[in-house]
Amino acid sequence: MPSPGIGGSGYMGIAHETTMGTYVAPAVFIPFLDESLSYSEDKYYSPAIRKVTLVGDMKQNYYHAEGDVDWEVDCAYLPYFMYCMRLSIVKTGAGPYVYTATPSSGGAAGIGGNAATQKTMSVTIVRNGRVFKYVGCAVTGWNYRIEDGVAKSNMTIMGLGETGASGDSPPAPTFTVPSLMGAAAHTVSVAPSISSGNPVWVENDNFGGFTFAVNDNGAAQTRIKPNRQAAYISFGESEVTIATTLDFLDGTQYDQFVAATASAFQIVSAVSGTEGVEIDAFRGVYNTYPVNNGAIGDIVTADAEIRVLAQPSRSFQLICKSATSIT
Amino acid sequence: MKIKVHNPAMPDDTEFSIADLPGVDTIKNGTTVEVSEEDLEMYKARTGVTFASAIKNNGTISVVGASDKSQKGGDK
Repeated sequence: MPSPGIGGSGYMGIAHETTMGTYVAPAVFIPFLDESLSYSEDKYYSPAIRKVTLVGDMKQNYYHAEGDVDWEVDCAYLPYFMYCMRLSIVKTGAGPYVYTATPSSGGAAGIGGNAATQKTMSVTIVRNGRVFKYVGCAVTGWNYRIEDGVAKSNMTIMGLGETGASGDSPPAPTFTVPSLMGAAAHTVSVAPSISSGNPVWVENDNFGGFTFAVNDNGAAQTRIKPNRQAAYISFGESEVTIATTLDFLDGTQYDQFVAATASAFQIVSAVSGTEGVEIDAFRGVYNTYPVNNGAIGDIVTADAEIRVLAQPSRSFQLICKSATSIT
Repeated sequence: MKIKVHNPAMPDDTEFSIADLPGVDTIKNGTTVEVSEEDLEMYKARTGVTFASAIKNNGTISVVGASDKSQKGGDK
């Protein structure tokens, strides 16, 4: 009888696809904190009435893969995910490479062309020795956050389908030495929002947290065809926010919240001169800025949310400096 | 079994480890290493599959030659 397994024995590998939905064995294995990628199907239960009050038949329906992967950001691997986000990417440098990504307006995941993503990926996850192969995957939402002093990220992934089978041999995973970005690596800066050019960033040490989140409202689209996988992964409105906790030092930011004054926000995380992440949100307004006196000993703070708005040239950019070369 | 670890996207000084392969510590990108029969047996015991089947279609690890019995097998 097979033994129960625990999460620690699992692993995940990804590879960019050459044809969306056609499985590619892992090119890299990425350490992660947890994952929830799963087969998603609304099975059809026949409600036909036949003098009994339970449904009497079930048919398989269209399905797709969907779930999250939470991980500690490592610049060796971030570019693999970036190419599967709704981003347009320019790669410069000769090692380390600089990947500068700005939002794309494509409507569906794909590989190049006018697709929302530049690549799609196959995601291989081994759980208690069983191999799960998710294909046609794109990142439909993501965050970049500082948690416990470390840069972490959550990737919401949607895929067309799953091709794993019980007899698949678990692949031998290779891992590299972790290169995490810890507490001293991060700097938050704020600047007045300007319509073009680079803001004059001023370091701001008042941020008690920083979660930059993008929800591209991905959805698996089903169309009538002779297999049950999703037809494509669509993208909707991009909702971009920054969540933080700010010490309430004076009324400046509260006044900006009330007046809907836009500011620019930046976080830079750097391991060394060769690796790092930078996110610039060029035009953001406080969506919420609740200031209250809490309990008797509580610091007066604001759990603020900033909504990032569009700019004609760029609303935000994600820059990753990495030794990894994605082609 | 001699294997090569090579990921063309990663720099040459990247060091890889292979899970469940006890005799191999870390391998620099693009280099080869000899895997002993004992390590291959241990891999199978730990994972339930042979190392050869685990690296089938592997984008990073490949077999580059036959096992060199004189190097490690000779210790038996």
